[in-house]
Amino acid sequence: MTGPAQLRAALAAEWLKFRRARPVVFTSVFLVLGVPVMTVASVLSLDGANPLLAVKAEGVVGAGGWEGFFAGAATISAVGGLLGFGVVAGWVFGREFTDGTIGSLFLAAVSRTATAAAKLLLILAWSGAVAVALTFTLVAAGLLTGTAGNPGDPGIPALAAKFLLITAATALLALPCAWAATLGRGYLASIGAVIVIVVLAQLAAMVGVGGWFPFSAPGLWASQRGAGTDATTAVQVLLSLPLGALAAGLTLRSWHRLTLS
Amino acid sequence: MEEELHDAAGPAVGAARLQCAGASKRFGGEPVLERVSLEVRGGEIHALVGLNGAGKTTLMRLFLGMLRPDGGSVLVAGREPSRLSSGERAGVGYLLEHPLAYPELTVLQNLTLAGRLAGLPPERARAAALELIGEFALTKWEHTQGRRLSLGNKQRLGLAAALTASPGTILLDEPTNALDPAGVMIVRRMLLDRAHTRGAAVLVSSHHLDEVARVADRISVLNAGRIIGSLPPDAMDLERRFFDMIYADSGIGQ
Repeated sequence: MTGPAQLRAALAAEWLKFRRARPVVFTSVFLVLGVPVMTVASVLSLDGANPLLAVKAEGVVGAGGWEGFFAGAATISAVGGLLGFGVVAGWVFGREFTDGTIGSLFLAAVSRTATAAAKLLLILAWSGAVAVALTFTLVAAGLLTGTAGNPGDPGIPALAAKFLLITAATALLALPCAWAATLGRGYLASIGAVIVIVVLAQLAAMVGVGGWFPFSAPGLWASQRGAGTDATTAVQVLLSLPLGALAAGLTLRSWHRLTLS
Repeated sequence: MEEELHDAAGPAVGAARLQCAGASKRFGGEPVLERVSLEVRGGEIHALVGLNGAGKTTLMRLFLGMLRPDGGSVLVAGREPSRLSSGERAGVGYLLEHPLAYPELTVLQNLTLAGRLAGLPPERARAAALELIGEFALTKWEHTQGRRLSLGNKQRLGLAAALTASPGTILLDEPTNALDPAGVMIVRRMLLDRAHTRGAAVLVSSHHLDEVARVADRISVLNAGRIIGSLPPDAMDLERRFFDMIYADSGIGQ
């Protein structure tokens, strides 16, 4: 089989598994519906009976309106997305070790590298689709519930685009979970990795170096009101690109060199 | 299956397809295999018999490139396993420990997937899957998900998955340990068909002299990581000879 033919066969095999995988279905629903629901709940709690919750919600969605609505959603998505995308990236790679099916992929005509590349491509495609779907459901939730303010706000497209970029960057930042699952020979290792990443991102933000810590940058950008950004923030958020590429490269290398002791 | 053996691995039928010479492997300083040499030729069933922990699975892993030997050479179709081309890899079918049985996929889907990974185009992968479902008496479970299969049926599925591309070289590690007598007979028939009718080279391991080991053309006995001798497959008292050999090598009185 030629290289492209191996990749095509690997994509067909991986797609067969991916579209039936419960973790993928649950995570898709959690992100596409869960984030809008949590955002709407945060806005509603601003005027709720519980003053403690109202203060907390104000920290997330500010004074409200579309700007606050998107900022709140992006803040939730920057953490929730890291967890969700990380779980799927780790599961897609780690399940082969946990289920013991990695042995069957070892000396197949389709190389392990082609299989790993197919997994990465599917994860990226799924992440992109989830990010787009989430952006649409978020806008729909804001319009239908009236919690985001003026439905004719001309700033909505720019705010939605910023939210989409934050979610996409978060998906790239979750790719190290694929490598962690490979090194740890199972998806539990990737769950550990995603927890460490989230904790480190919070710590970096707290000590004030978060902008240059790639895992914190999308969350910090999300907390900045408005759709615009300065050059420094843009570079900081774009660090997710080389980091995602590095994680993908390391994962491919590990699958190419894999041994099973 | 009526199609020809997938013998892209190169050598003609009758030539050595699996060879190891002085192969050694250590785990954490402990020797697991010591200077093991054997070969399996096309058209031949070679049984590797040894107690648990003798090194049978480790040797299989060396042949499949899952481990690299610390010493000696391990060759598949005359080449190191990690250097086999895609076509050459398609010529090797195997079942080692865990079967290819994804829990979310049905038996038919699992086998079709195995065929695609073995390099078959979609239609041929499906046709091969259906044929193997018949051969391994899995028709009743064709649309059953892997997670709902019994251990024995999972093993039948794993065996079928190893054969989707009609490999010319077959490695099976304890292929009958979860099978009922009917399943053992299917494997026995399958081995004879693949090796003696179609010319495949078969290496099959077992921890005892079961029905599968008894159809072998050659039986090598592995103990404590070493080949300690061979047994004549047609001998009357194979079981006793096997234990005599093991006890003598281990220095245990009977």
